[in-house]
Amino acid sequence: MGGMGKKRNAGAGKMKSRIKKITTHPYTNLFCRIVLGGIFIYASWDKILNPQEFARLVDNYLILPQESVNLFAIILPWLELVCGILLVLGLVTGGTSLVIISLLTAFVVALSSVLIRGIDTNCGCFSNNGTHRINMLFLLRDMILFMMALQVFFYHRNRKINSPDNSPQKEKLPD
Amino acid sequence: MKQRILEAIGIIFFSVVVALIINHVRPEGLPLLKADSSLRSELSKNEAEGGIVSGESLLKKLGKPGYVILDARSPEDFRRGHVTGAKNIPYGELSQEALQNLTLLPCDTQIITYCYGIECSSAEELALSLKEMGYEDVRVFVGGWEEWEKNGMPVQEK
Repeated sequence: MGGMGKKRNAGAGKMKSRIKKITTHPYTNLFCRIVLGGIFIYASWDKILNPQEFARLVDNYLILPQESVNLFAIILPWLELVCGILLVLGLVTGGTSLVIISLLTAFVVALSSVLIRGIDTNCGCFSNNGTHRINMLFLLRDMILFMMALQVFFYHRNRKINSPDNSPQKEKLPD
Repeated sequence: MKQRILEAIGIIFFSVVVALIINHVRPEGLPLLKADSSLRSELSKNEAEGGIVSGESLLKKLGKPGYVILDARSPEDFRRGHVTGAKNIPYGELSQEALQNLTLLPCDTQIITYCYGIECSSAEELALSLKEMGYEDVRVFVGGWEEWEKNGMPVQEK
């Protein structure tokens, strides 16, 4: 029985290291950056072209005070576009992924609030003219994007920590 | 982490500046502060119970009893095409006849209003008038005729 347990533990450990290897692989990071960045650029486009429609949809969520709806509808699409471009280009990825994580957290909270309160409205996530009302799939999609943003965030942090510039050995080297 | 926070603040600041400049320059830019619309906030009180209806939900309701659809567009546009089963009550022209027809409806009837699309306000204004008349369950199909027609949903011509 003990042998079986050890085998199982070894199997789980192997699986864990394999998952870690995949999630920290440079290609996984590249995939996450391009997909997430592309989605953010795409999501911003219709909102930038039709700010009035987007403002109306933001208003339908009944979360923000009326006075701040327009300001939010003006700024959010540009923030999404800037973050999307920076991610695709691989520039300032640390700060960008932090902004995206914050945005996605806010989106998940907003969508959950709409679902809980039973407000019948369109998402306005990608297009202002969709006919699909908000459902659980929207939440699931945002959660997946959230995981991708976390990958980008931690990948660059770990790389920075493990970079030769930060290694203690270098500090010991004589001048 | 401190550097990342600073980068994030820089990105937000840059986006805000770009957004405000472009909004100021473009002709269809929005006013920065939206005036509080009493109509909207009055309607919002009902939204938690479904004050806004999507095209998909309206499609599901078609052919079922217990609701009335009101088209707040002009009679000419209504004649060219409207949501199947809708009645035309052009807002601003609440005629005596239209009012009489409405008063025949029980107060608990669900009323759904719509107008041209997301940018028109007559559906909301009609909905508010109806609420003032005592109708409890008034909803607005925000996407309006534009969304309905665009998605090839059932249309009636007169």
